Amino acid sequence: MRSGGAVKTVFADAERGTSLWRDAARRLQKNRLAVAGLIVLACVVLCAFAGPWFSSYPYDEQDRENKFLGPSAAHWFGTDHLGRDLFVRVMQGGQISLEVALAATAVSLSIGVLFGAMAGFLGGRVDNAMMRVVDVLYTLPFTIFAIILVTYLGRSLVLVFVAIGAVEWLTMARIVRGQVMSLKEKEFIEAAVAMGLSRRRILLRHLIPNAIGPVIVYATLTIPRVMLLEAFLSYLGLGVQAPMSSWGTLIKEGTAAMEEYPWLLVFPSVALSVTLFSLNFLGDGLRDALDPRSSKE
Amino acid sequence: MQLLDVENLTAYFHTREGVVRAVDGVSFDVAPGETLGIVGESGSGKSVAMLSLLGLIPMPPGRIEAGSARFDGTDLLGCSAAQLRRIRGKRISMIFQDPMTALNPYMTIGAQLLEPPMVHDGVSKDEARRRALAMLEQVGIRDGEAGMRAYPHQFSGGMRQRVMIAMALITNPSLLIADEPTTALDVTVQAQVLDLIKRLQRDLGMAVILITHDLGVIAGTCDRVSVMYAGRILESAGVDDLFAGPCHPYTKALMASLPSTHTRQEDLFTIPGMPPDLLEPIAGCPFAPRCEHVADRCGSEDVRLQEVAGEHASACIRVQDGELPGFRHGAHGTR
Repeated sequence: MRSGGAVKTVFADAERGTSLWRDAARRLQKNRLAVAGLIVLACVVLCAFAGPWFSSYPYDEQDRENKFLGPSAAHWFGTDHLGRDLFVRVMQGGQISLEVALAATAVSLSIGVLFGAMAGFLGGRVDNAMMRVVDVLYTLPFTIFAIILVTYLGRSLVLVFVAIGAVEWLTMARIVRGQVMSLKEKEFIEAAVAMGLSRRRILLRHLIPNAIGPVIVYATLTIPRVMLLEAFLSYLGLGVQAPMSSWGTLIKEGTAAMEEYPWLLVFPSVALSVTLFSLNFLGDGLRDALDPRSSKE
Repeated sequence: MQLLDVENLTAYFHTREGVVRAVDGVSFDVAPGETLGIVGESGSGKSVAMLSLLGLIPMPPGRIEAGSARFDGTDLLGCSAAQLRRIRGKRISMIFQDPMTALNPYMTIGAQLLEPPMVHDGVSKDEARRRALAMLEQVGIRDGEAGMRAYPHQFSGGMRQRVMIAMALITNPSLLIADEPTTALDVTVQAQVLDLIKRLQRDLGMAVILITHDLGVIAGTCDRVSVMYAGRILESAGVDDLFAGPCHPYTKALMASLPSTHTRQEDLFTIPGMPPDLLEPIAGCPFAPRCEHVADRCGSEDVRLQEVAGEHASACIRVQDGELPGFRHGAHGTR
């Protein structure tokens, strides 16, 4: 009996396959807070990077005649103690803060994902050793570590990356390790081994891509933390150098003049807070959207 | 020259509770293009035996204690990990019982189908795509284009199994090991999948080892059969010979247990007792405690697979010595 004949194929969602990502995107759209966060974030990024082009004041142009001016039509956010337009400085500060946050997160993500995936995949004594390294680094007090770095290497932006990156990759590693360890036991990995795929290929193309969900969520929630860390470092005078500013340095300058000229503190603080909120809402939304329990299977 | 010649394969698991003798001195061979069925109940060691051939058993608790497995001139049991990786998926392919869990749920069918030819044969993506589409057509999935873009959860069980078969055969292996490929499928789909394997086997000139607990499947597809119990092969014969006249009490009992061999009025026959605990070393015949033809010698004498009638081999010492006249080849009338 010839039964090898064709089977009529009927697919759900015939046009394109629905994947975890499309389902997640659909779920995310329904979360209004997350969408709002995304829009606000987009606005902030746009302002920060495109805004300075449109301003008539360069961020470092001093005008001592006009220092400590309150908000007005000429200077939307007023001026600081050196007569520099605060609006432009807040936008430029945003650039720095966002860049640092993204870069440091990217660095810690790369290190953390690879480290955690390897530990989870190799298991046994290697995993043990690797996780003990993580445990030890966890105990590092961040502030002291940063101060030590500054003492030996001087103040620089690169330092900020190093300090933050060195600390943030740890939790990422733990998360990825957990994901990889549970995925490793699944039958499709056994099937992949039976198919003769090398361990490297299985790790890079079958395990890590499937562990990416929590990584994305955690990365989105890491960015605001990194921003705060950078602000903290800059506040301590350990990060960005004048005349460049980040929101951290602006807040620091604002605190000094807080009693008489409160707008110097208010504007950069609001900018930072709004960005942090929107990132957090977006991150929460992503976490809910990518939650496998709410997926099809 | 046999394609695969396994001699005295022995694999134990060294666990905290003791040593589990999962596979104990198993020998069989497979000729090019033929279908060997390995039948046995759960826990008989049939899957472990096949997995250990390819080095797929977890090697900390598991260990290959003895044996050789000559495949096309190379001893699989002596191969390095790298050598085994080159053989797996390319010259020996394996398909598993549950196609839903054996396929990566996060990758499209296309992505998974492209991997074997690209990794093993080093072909370009376009060439791999061409082969994948051709393979999907061969396994009977129409509209291969849409199929490639789909995800495993969008397919039915039968289709997923076809995809697995496509993935296994796309590199043109000389041997396919199918571990209970139809157990998770309903009967009509079962027939289709078995037919498909048979047709592809013929077209590709491939040998197949079919592991199953279902005697019906064996009867319909295999050339030769080995019956496993407690990690050993108790009987081995051509499929027609086996069904015409089993030469081991276990095989006879298995056949008697098939519900189809009874009329509605009869009680179903079950083999009394339980399979032995593999943690304990077994003296004599492993089936002795449950055998209806047991004698004193069965509990003490060493048991070995031996030819009793032509190529028909049995591990029952009583049959070997002619003590059980009812088991002479052809003397039995079981269905």
